[in-house]
Amino acid sequence: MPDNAAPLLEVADLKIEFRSGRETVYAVNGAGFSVRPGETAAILGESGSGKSVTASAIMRLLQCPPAFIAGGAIRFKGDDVLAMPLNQWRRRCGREIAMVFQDALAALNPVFTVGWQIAELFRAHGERSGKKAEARAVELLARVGIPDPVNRARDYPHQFSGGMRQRVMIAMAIALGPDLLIADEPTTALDVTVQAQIMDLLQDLQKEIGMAMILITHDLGVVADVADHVAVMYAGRVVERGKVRDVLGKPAHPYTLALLESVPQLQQNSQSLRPIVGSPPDMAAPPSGCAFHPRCRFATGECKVKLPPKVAVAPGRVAECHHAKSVFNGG
Amino acid sequence: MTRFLARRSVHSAFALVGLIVAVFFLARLTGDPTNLFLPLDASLETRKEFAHKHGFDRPAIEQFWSFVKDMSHGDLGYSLRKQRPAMELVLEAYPTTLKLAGATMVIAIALAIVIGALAAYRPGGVFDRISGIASLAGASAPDFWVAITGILIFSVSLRWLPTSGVGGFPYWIMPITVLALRPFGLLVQVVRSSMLSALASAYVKTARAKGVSERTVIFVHALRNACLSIVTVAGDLTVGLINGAVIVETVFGWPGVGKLMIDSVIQRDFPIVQASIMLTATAIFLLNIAIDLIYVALDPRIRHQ
Repeated sequence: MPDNAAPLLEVADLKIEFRSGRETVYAVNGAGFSVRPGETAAILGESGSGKSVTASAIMRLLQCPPAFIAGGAIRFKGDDVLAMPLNQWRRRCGREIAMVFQDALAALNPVFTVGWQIAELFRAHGERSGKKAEARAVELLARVGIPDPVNRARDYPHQFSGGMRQRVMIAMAIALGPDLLIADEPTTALDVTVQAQIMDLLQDLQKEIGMAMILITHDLGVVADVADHVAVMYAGRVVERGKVRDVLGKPAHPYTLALLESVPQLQQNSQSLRPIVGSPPDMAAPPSGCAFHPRCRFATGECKVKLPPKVAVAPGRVAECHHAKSVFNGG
Repeated sequence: MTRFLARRSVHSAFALVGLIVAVFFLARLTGDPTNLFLPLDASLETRKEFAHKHGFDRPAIEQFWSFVKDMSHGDLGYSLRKQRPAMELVLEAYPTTLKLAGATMVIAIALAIVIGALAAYRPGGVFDRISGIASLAGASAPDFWVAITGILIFSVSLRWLPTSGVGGFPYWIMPITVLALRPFGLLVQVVRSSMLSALASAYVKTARAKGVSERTVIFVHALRNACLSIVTVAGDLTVGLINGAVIVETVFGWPGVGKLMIDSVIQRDFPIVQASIMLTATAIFLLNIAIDLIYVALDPRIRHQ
């Protein structure tokens, strides 16, 4: 994909808070990234880093309140998503932008047949004939590799295995050939062997349809295999972004570096893994300055008090760290 | 499915037998009807004759065997007071009760679903708060008080509605309103809480991400799931009503089975007590089976177990 193409989706300085009576949780604190048509962007981060909340915000699925968009903008095809009337955005959901959720058993409605739930996409987007919608649902089931689709369309979600359910979710998401698919940890709930099948299916469909994909994951291996670009999230901020090969090959943020060091690698014969010390910050009371400083071995006095700037360490490479250049050159 | 129905029917039959035995003997513990039926100055001979004619002079266990023998021929005895077959009287009163119960539940459920669903859509909003107060008031208002106050205001003072009896539409308004208050109040709260959890579920998120209209999200995706707990509570409340709404039927002079039952208990008209309890018990068993069938129809996860 050309690097200079206009972005399909742009998230700029997004801030999301969850406000309950006593406390405010600062889930996302100025996240920014963009996705160009056809490319795969990964959002990498541990649980609580704000990646799923960001995805829900893009789809406008957050329950407000308690969620509250405190700042920033989301632009899809140049349109301001957050300023758009909700029902206008809903009409574009499913058709232009779609989402695959993590836990397909919870994400599929237990009391309707799988065929009905897929056919609903066509009905919601203008197909008047119920029969035609059902027939297209069966076609989709076949397309995502579900055997005996005619009969399986009449089954309920609980009658499917985990992998097959995730295929149903994917069938629903790609039904109308969206321009952008957000996959929120699509393989986390699955067996390792099934994970690979589902990722392969997603990649095949992506090529076929020519859609862009945002892959939300905590799995470095998946990112390395599938994504073109990666945005590493920590404590609600995108701390580093760039092309996957570059970021994973030569990280510029201490958190990315620490993530890479904590993953077992076959080709290296190092005996011990280096875990990231400490635990993720409490987002109701995030650390001052750089949120990673309590766990960072590069941290200096400056990191405790000053939010790090966006440092461009190389073309297309940005890291939010006071020491980005030295990490990039020495890491 | 057939096995399930067969098992339920056998259970029900056993329970029914136990109930009949209990009612038969408990009724006789209340005393001899003879003294209630005959005038105070009736002679000893007349009393003896009356007791003998109806078998009240025999031991209870003997009375029970002859009752069982008659019942096996479909004979549930004659009303002591009305000189007509007891079952005939009960069957005459029962449709009136059923109509009242049916109309009440249909109205209570329909209103509760709409109001509960709207309250759950914006929890904490103005509508939610108002409906919360209204449903709590409805669920806790004592029906005898509401009924009498209603008669005082709408019949006595304003003269808009008849005080009691059966007839055209105006006769139905107050009994239904009074009866529906409690089911309505309870159901609004059940609908609200089950809709709240349904609307917060992942499948509702999926539906929204699919671009489904908000109306379909609420009234198809969420409500269909919320129905499961609504059916449980609504079923229970309906059981309470097809028993005969004793208080409301009495206050409004509604000739239903509740009023018939309470009158016959007071008058020790045993055959009617027995017949009406048998019929209402059977109706309750049938209703419970119907509720189970609705459950199976609503939840595919039960169907495939």
